[in-house]
Amino acid sequence: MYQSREKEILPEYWYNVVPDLPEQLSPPKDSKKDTSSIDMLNRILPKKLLEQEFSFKRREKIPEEVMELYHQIGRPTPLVRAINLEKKLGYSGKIYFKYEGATVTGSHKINTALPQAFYAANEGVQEVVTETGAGQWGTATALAASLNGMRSKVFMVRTSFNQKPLRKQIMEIYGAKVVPSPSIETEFGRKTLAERADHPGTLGIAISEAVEYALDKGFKYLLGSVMNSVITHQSIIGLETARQLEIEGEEADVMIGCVGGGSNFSGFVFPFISGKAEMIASTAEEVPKFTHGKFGYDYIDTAGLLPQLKMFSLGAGFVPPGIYAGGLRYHGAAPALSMLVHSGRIKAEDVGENEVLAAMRLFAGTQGIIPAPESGHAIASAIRYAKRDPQSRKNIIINVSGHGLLDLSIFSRGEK
Amino acid sequence: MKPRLIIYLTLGFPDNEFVEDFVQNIPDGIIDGFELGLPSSDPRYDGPKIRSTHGERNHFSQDHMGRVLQTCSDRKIRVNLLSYYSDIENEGGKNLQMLAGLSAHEMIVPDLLIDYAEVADAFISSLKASGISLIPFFNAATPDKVIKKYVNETDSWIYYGLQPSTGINVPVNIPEVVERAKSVIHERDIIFGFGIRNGGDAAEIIRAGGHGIAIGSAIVDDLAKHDERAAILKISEYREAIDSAV
Repeated sequence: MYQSREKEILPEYWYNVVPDLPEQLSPPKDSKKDTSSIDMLNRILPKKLLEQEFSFKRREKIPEEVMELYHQIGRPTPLVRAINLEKKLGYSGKIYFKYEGATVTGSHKINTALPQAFYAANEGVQEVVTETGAGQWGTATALAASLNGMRSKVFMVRTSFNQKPLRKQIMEIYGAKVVPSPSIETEFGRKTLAERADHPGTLGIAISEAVEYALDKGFKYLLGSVMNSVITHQSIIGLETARQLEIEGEEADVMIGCVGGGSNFSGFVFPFISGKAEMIASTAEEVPKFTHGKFGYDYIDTAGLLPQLKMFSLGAGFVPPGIYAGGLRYHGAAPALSMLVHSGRIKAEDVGENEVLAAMRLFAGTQGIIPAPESGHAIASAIRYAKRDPQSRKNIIINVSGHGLLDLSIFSRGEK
Repeated sequence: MKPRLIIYLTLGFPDNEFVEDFVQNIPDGIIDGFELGLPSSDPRYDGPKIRSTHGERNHFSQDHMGRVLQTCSDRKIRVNLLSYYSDIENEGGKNLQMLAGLSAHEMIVPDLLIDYAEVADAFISSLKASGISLIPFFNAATPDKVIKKYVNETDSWIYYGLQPSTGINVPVNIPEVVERAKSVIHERDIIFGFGIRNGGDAAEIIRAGGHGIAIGSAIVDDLAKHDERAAILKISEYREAIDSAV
């Protein structure tokens, strides 16, 4: 839908929410007395990315080279009216979904991997390093590195590494070296394995390993979520959505997305933050960061190599169960998103596995798309919303952050 | 107008006697004021250098603070204090009562508008009642409307941080930062601090329209070595840099 008007839909600038927040974001915090983990970011992040991380600018120009890559990987992504789902639910309003699964890597993650890799390549970097949970971020990094002429290395959470061999294969086809985390390639990985040889891994541990590896080897580390700069890049989702709704002559009344670290949700809703749309962040019942987490400073990664951020967190040492939606296992959430949930501007709700699987089946059966299980949470929350008041005329907009074609095994596990 | 140079010292570091001698011995006209930090148990917005001045090596006492303020008053050197709100809260306002009796009438509370925004209005009122003006502390992450609100509620100069914490150096475009601050803050002096690495940065701030600079981390190593001469020499270099930028 609207692909023929792509120049009209693709924005020239990303949007940074920081100047429009109701309160000031708390700065990152060091915890070690004699060194600065904030200063350490200079060694592992591309300079331009770090500049964007602490930027006050509301708008950030998308480089022409990145814009070209956005076209190549399938942007703008479609905004589709889910007419069949509306009918099935007997909902009187309209339901739209923004389909980030239409990118070549199958999720929103490529939106920030491309500019980050571009900035790293501009600095003459030969290799980039990152972590991945469910595999979408690793896939995006692998492709972005390849498109920018660099090698890539991905520390993949062990439980996903074992459950998703196809993800690993895709990353390798794009040229990445993929290792299960915890691994024996870093000091922190070896220490973790010494404590528990069958450790399933967490995103926090994988981040620590990737950062340690980047520091040791002098490579650049790419950020998958949580940080402001990532969310700024992901604002392309919301900016396109706003333009597509405008073309359609509609407005967003309710916006719903899923939250792991918070990048797809924040990128989707932040461009609408000054408006009146209701916003719902859908999280996994097994990782209830907003409903049971604490709002305060906590580490981004388990080893505490990176600075602490003020955010909702279940604790950097939290080891979630090996759930069906690997991308939602992260212990924390982006600071700006956490602030807006804390203030009540954004509502949060937890959704359990059975409800998510049912929502995914319903969505696949009505719209033909098998969503990623992470996105299944957003769809489940949207169905809940529509069922609560079927006579409502409100426009519900869902961000379907990725497809689930590599997650089909979850359907064979059977409902709990 | 001559640019202002403010020097940050943590009271009690490296020891009380050194600080008292330092404020006594600093040559006339070289600085425009001292910013005196009360030692904090959690100096969360400070980098490693300043953090090192707050810890176990600090020998602060209230008598010491009284003597430093008296010397500054005798020498007609303007003074503002700096305290984290978390410490003021932990001490149940005792510090505030103590400060009300002193000759410092301006105060920076760096965490107030960030981590304690819900009590900021009431705290600003209680400061005013004690004869103390809040110097608002802003940085790149301060939303425009927050800046406007607290500029309206206060009447002192403004402290604007270049970096997320002191003494660190993430990439910053100084002219853009100064321009942004001046586009939101009108008819008030804006002093820039947090991460001014050298005289070149200092001059760039002044050339871009800043009214002055505040430095602290740059002289911590000299203070730690009790090297008053080296610290004063470094301060003189900053003085020269900002004066020549006008």
